[in-house]
Amino acid sequence: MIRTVGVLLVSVIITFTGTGLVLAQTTTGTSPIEDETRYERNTGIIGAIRNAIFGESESGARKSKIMVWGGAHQYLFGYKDVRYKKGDEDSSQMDYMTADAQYGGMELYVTGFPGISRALRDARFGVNVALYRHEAFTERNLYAVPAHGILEETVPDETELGRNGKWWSNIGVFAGNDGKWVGIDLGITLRATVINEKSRYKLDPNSPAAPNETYIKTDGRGLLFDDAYLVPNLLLRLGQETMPHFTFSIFRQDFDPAYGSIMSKVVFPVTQYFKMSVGGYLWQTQAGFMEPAVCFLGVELAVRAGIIINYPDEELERVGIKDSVFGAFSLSYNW
Amino acid sequence: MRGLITSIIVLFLALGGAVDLPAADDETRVLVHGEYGWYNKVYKDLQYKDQMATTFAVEMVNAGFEFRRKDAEGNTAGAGMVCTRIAGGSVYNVNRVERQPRTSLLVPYLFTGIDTGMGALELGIGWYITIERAEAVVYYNPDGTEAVDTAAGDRVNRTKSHALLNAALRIFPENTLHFKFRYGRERFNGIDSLCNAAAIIPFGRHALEFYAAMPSDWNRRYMPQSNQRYGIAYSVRIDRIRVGIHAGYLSFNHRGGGDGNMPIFDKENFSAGSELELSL
Repeated sequence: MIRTVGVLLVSVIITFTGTGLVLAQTTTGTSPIEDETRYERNTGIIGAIRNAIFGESESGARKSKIMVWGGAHQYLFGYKDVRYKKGDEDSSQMDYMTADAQYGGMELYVTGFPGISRALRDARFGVNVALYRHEAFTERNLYAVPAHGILEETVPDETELGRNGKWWSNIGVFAGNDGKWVGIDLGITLRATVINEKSRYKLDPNSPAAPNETYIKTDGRGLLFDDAYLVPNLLLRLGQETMPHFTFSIFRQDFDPAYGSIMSKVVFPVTQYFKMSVGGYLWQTQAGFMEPAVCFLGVELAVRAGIIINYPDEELERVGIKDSVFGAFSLSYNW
Repeated sequence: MRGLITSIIVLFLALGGAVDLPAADDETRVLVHGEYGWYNKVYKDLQYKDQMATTFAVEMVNAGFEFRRKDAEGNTAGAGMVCTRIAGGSVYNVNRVERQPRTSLLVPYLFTGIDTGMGALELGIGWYITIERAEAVVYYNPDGTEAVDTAAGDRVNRTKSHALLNAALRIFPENTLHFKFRYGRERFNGIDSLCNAAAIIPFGRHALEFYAAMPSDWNRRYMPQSNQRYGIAYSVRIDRIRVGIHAGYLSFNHRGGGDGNMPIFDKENFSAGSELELSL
């Protein structure tokens, strides 16, 4: 087994190394179209500043970008409601509630440092920041059905922190190489969750009925850190940027910090001024979206509309279409 | 090991030197394919003391198409879709009924990649949409009476639907012995051959393909559970048209936890199909 895998691996490496060498010999330099594009990208004000700092690249301008983005969706909280009659499927008793959620972020990267070393001609360094919040869930009272022994309930119950609004912050740094056919960036993202705790339930020692067994609702502590951890970030591109190409990203590009941290896109540059991306979220939800973009003089405006197919919560199986659509935008300047 | 790798390298160089790479021209291909077979629903048979898992079969029909365009430099892009239709069925199992809901699987996808002649790597994104016949959703009113929330009908099953990365890797040129690894690409079935690897042997206008579809149940929630299927395919090229037939044999039923072993010569183990590819 290991031998077979080894042989296959070597074959793949040889195939692509060999063909890469052949390509390198047969395609000297970049195409006139690409050079023209790069020249145009280098004529912006930021491009001029960059050239003043890092020196002009031999192969023309590089693919540097500053981007801001934002979006909105419905954040869902699933629960079991026994007022639904149990059927064959486990999902038959599931229901959910919604809260408005918004997110936004900024990404900046600079590609090409020939002034330092020729080896850094395609090197890329960058940072990104993203913020996400969802509002607190409104408590929902569920009625009693005495005939079936079902008691009155309130969701979310008092032990569930999901009732509180939440913030997520993501701060990432990355570095990589942006080649003609393949681009790879790797980095690290600090992800921290902040809870806006609006209320807590506290034991009531003065309860006349049952002291120290009854809870009373008290004010929460406001904003507080819930969790903080490090995750890797990644951007992989396969194919030339001026041609249809594939991207796979983790906490990169214009990601949704709660429902779309891992995503993939197939990008079709239709004309010089318009490109269409079709993609999907792969984690935390599974989704599909379309993202048309207009491009002019290095400025790119993209609008995304999509629908979530699958949620990570097993209780979120019967979700209405209007609660699973989402929208986003991104505005970037490339030089 | 070193000798084996050396011999592979020598074989590669020999092939690379001996084989004329296909002309580097723009090329458009349109592939349509279809298949008829069986879906085998796994259940534990309560009649037997060991309650060994067994299966009952329902008909399964599969159809799909793929459009693929490559330019002279090797940039490749395309799109396709596969639809797998599984009939509904049920069997009595002592004191209960085992059901297989009527199911349609839709797998639309897009991809881009690089084809250097000697090899190709294509990656893309698609969606695995499961539409099932679902029962009515009924709820209790406060007075205990029942009311229908959602009527019975065909609905998207969100748990069994997801985004799906697709991949196709080809090693060696198409006009010589070459290997392919495909995940949600080219000629596949939404259940049994989503992930498959093939060795293709062209001789003149003809080509013979041996393939194996890998079972996948790594993630029950998100990933479809495919089976171990072995297959053989033959195709012949006539001018710009390639016509082919293929047949598969399900060696091991991996659904329901891998316990659904079936008698070897059941007709439900077999599937057959055809394909037509147009090069423009």
